[in-house]
Amino acid sequence: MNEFDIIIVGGGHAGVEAAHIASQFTNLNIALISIPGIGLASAPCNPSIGGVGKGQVVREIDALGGIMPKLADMAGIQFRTLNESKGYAVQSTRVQIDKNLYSKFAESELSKIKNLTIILDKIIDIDKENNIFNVTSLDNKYKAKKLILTVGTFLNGKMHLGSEQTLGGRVDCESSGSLEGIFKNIKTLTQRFKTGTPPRLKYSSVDTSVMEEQPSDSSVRNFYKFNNPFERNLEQVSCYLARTNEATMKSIRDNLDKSPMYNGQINAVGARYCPSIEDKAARYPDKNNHHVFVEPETLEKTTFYPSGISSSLPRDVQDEIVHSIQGLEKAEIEVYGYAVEYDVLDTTELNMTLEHKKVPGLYFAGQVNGTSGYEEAAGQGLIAGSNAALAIMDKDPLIISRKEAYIGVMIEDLVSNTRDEPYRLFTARSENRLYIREDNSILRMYNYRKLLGLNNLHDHYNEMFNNLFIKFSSIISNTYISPNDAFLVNNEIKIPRRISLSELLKQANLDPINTLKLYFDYLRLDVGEDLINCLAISNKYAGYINKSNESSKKWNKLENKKLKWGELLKSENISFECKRRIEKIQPQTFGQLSRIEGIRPATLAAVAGSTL
Amino acid sequence: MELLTSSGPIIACSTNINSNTAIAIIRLSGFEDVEIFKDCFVLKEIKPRFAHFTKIVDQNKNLLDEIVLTYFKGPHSYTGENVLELSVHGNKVNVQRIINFFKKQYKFKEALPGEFSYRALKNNKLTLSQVEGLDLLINANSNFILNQGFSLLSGDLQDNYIELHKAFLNHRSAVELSIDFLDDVGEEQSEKNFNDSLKDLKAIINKLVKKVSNTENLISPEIVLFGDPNAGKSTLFNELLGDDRSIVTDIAGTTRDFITETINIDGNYFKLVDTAGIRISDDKVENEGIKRSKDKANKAFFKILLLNPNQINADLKSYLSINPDLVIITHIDNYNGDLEDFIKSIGPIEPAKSGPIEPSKNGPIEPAKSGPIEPAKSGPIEPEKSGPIEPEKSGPIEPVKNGPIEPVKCNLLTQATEITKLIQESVNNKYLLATSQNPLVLNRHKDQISKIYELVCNYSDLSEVESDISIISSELNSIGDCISELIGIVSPDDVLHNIFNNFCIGK
Repeated sequence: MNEFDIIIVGGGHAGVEAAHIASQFTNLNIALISIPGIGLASAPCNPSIGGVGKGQVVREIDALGGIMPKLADMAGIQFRTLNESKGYAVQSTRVQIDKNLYSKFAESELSKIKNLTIILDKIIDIDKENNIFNVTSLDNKYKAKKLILTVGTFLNGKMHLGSEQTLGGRVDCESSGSLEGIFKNIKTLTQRFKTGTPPRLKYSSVDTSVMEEQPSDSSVRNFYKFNNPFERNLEQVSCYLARTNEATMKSIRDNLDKSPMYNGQINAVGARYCPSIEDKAARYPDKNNHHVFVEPETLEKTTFYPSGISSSLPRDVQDEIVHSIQGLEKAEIEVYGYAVEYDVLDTTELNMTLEHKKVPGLYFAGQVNGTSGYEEAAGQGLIAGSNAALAIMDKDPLIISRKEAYIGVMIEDLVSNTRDEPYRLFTARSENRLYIREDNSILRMYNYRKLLGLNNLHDHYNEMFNNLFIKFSSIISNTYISPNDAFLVNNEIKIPRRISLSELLKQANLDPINTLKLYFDYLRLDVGEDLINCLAISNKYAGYINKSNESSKKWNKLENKKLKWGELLKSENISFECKRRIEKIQPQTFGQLSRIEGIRPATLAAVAGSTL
Repeated sequence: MELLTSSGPIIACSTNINSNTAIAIIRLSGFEDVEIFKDCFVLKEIKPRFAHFTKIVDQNKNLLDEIVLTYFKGPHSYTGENVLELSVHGNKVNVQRIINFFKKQYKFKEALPGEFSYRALKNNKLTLSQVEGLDLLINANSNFILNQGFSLLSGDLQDNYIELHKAFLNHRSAVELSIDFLDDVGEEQSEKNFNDSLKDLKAIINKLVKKVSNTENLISPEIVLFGDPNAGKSTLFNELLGDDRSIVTDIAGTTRDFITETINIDGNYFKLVDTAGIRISDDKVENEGIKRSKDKANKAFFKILLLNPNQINADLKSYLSINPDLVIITHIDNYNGDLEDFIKSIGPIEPAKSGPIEPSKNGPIEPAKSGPIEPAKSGPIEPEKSGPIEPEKSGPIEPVKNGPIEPVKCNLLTQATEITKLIQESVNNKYLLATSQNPLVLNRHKDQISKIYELVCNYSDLSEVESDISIISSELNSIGDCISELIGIVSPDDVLHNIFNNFCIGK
């Protein structure tokens, strides 16, 4: 009864996603083991899904048949498009969630799955024997062919609040032991990572009337492709923008010596892009005005999450900081902010399927890999879950190119370089930003999803979308419009000569999406919202994407060139130091080789010369 | 390119091997352990960075030479590998015998041209620019090129490029910040970052593009004599050279190919080229020669047109289209017509243009100033002083000025000294003008900087009309690629190939 094909240890966003995708392989028997006392897919930090770059990841997960987008819509209480003024390619969706409902929906969705067993238990030992993993808790023993570890911040986790230190991965539970104790030959980084979270404020004690209100945007499309684009599952609420001031920053600067980050109590590194308020105070001594987004955590209006003032200062200082901010003068702190430091796996020991190179059958996903963010975790969970299942069935692995998805960018970055700070996705990490967009996620992921061979509802939807896209793209390129056509006259659009619909949609003074919608209306064609967006935006960027591909052709030609890294180790032209890095990372393509830190131009030139 | 693939030990003589000299220096690089040479150098210990006066003996203890030896332990050496420098007696036979001994006894390979520097580059001891600088320095034939070689080698120029790279990175960061962290930074601050950093980038590339000069070939400048057959080119050539290098006859078309000699004018070396006469002819060989002389003249640094008023056969326009720097009317003594009428019939002669290139018009960056260039301060020339030369018969010879060219009338036989002096002054003047702003001479750098300049101009224009930041930012990629290529951070193999193909330095 306790024998499974795949066991996933850890019920966070990575574990839930891994369990969900693996169980779509209905012939496999999957178990998700989660620590008792915390709900599945809980949100211990910011109560939101999506964001710049991350919104794209959620839509990729959606196209690949994942569960995060569905849960985000179900629990969504405020929808927003970020970077709305910056152009389609860098626009991203972000959804505030009711974090309690999110977790509840995750449990109810997963419990519906027949071949998935959810077990609440704390694992204390793991070993591998004859290609079978033995997973042991205090009272039980489980066996699995493949094991996925999604243990988050729990490895040797230690929490800091002022001078108080407690063992644990987060505020409400104890930590697990070190990975070395479980697998002797698996390395964690010597440098531990740190993350932090702000204090939570009692909802009724906050005066939102003096803050800038950010209401939910009803024109933002839901994440889940099967949902009606704009229909919300829950009542919508607002977020609020507050600001720090001189008094706020002074009390932080005066108390920096009490911060575990600054008095040497924490040695771990935090992410530069996600600084605590102490970091901001120390790093920008002249700046006192920082944004604080005040976000509701639940629909029941229990607490606010003040995004931007993550802190591990002592309680009295946190009170002082919060009370100095306009609108928060009387705010009561329900849970104080804290920092947690934890062990991180050396991800250069993973291959592109997220399987450990030294322990075949063992996969890692999520924050244990040194990433931050629920979306990054879910994306890795989906890759690990799919690949564990594909491996059991002896099928080709799922490896997504960095040119086609942020998930691909992330996995390649993770396995190519040793992390020196927590990893978060940015649009800047992609070389192909104009193409990796939210609107075309189905086109981008269509073939990857198909490769799983599941042929269920997700595949049918993707196939339909893809076929319609091809059909309408050809209509857009092959339809010509004259200046006096009724469509143009009716809509008061002027053009100098007969042009194709494709050219018309590129006119600088026209909104491509609206114009295309008008045109289909004019033809009395009922074309779905998603398809129109994807068609119009793809058409707009086509020329730029071609141009940028053209200009970097020299490198692109090499980018996908397959390498035999073993051969490179024999080359006389490559320095010893470079060979060691190559041996460690085992790059599969020239592109991956070129992104390894410390690989010298001369090495690249030598390899380029010999592969051409 | 011969591939510099091996990583085994290499040996070469770094000094002139073509004649016997007092001292020759043999360099050895890439051996595993200096200990293996203890026997042949008869030393108990070979200390790094210490000059050992000792001898070389072969395996039978026969003395090969007495030498001074210095050992540089890698990575603290020119190539980054273990290096030995031997100062040996510079007899040709001796040098070859020592090299052969190491080849045979210790399996050394004779280094290919550039191989020591290639290893230095491979081991990060030199940057791409420094290798180029070294090449320039070693092959320099003027003070100016010598200085630019040093400037590349010492990294002064590289510093300018790195400044450009930094400004680019700053701007790129501002763009990425405005996309990925708009919520944190705010719209207003993000726009300010964008504009400020773009302004800096433009200022730096503007400064650099001024160093890009149109002047052809300052590395190995040529003075070309062209004009009608028998106009006196070979006579002048010999006069300038001071001996009888060229065959001089009365039959038109004697000089069928280029004759090249090196002359020294005020410390700088120039190639003096005598071309085949441009003349309409049935002679196929000569027609080919004519075509080539036109090409040659077009690319030359200094062009001297010689005209014989007695026999203008070819189309005069084709001469003038070459834009001569100096026009000399010869054979004036046996000309029967009015010389002034003849000069009028030629019409105004436009001189060759030189100086900085004109940047593209649409660019918002202020174009480099053209027009008269101040000669370098250090320059020894003072044109005013030399003044007009007063020959007895045919009137004064005026030095060359800017603006349309006044043809110089002279009798090559009787006024040889004056005309030689005039030419030397004119060439020197032009060279000082061309180098006064320290223009870049390496084509790779010139091309790359011009390309970056144009891309930055286009980018700046685009950023003013396009509101979609993702489109704007995609244009940044090509600028980044070009800048990286310029400083050699990312070197596509063809850049490396080019450089090692073109140079052949001190082994």
